[in-house]
Amino acid sequence: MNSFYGNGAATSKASASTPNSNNFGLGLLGVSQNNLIERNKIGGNINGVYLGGGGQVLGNIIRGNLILGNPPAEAIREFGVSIGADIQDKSTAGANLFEDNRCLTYAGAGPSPCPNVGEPQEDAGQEAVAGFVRNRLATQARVFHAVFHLNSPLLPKAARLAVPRRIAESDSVTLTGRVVDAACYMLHVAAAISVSHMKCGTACLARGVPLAIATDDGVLYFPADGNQRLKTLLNARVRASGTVVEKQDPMELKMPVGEKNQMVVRVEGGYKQITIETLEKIPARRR
Amino acid sequence: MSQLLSRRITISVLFVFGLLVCGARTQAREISGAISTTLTIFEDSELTGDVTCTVPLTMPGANPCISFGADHLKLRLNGYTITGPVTPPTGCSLPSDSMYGVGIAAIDRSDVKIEGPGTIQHFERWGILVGLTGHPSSQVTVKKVTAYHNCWSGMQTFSTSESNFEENVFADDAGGSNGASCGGT
Repeated sequence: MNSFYGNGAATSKASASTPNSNNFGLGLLGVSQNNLIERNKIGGNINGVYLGGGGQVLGNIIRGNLILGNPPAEAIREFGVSIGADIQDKSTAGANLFEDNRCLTYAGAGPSPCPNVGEPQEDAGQEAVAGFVRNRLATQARVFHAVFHLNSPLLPKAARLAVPRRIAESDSVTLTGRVVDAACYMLHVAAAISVSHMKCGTACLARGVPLAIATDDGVLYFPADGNQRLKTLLNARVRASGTVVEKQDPMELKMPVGEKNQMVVRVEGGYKQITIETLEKIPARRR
Repeated sequence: MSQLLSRRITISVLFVFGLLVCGARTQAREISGAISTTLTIFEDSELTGDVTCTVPLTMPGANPCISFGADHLKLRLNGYTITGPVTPPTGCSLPSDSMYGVGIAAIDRSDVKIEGPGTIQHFERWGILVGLTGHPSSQVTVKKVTAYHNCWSGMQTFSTSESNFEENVFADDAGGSNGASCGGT
């Protein structure tokens, strides 16, 4: 954890007509991509976190930071409220992911992650979230293991260790959820369903990363016929009906990382597979 | 005879131990006092007292107080302070300046470490400069360092990868950035 306090001059601007100062506690400028800014304390600066413009600040994750009191009250009184913000975002809308930051003010193209000052039962709430994640993994992937294999040839599609054993088959069910990149979803839910992941998810899909339908309670359903029917629906909300079987055999999801590396996510403890009979895209839920 | 052999062994053991102790003491270069020309380090180094920097701006680009001259080095601040020559906003660098003052520079370096606690303050541009456009650095660690009251950013990174910046404090920097986009880091 780093701490950023009282940095910046209100008189420092990109141009005389710009309303906001370009100074900050922590800034991502120029070409700044795929960085993780996590668990920092950022207060009393003219801008707390500053994401620069130009379209090259993207794919960054700003998570779990305390970003409050930017700019300080005296600077607001002297130079006006638009002189700075807890998060001053000049980057393209949705290009970066803000998650679980405590902040009050945001200036940018949005969507705004502020204000967010937590809840009175914050610790308990966060424990509940963590518990939810643990439970979800416990039912779907009791051993959740991700490894990088250097210089492995890329596989064209998901490879399974063995032919799954059919344990039980349900009657026809109807479920609603979002079409997700399954491997990414199990590693990091918020990143997998963010707008900024679309480009990455599409690239992974093109290389055969398996898709699944993630229901609202976090259960993944893998289509029995692979990606064929879901591939045009990545990140869309869908309603699907069909028969569901519980598999108990392990499964490996393989996805390319860069040109030479490959990530393998091994799922043990069973998973759900759906033989889709009907599939339709439905409107996104209102938040 | 047996008593003599025993004494020889004892002496030999003490001699080897003495070498180890002395060897350890000479591993790090000790730095303190006034620095008036850039101090380039080529071995692990540590502060043994506060440092006052008055390095004149004579070279195009960064004119650091302390510069890493090789890879795989560590600079320990040991709780001391490195102080530059200016007090923001007076004496701060302009964006158009071709020569500028920096506290510690790690340019074109890999696997170097600046380890606090310790403070770097009052420099014309950056307290710490890691990498430079066209001169990347990687695997740089900056830990438990306070960058305070520097004209531009407390720490500026260009072309830097695979690095860790942990438990640092960046306070009251960029008070004299003169229009440049600057801050803590």
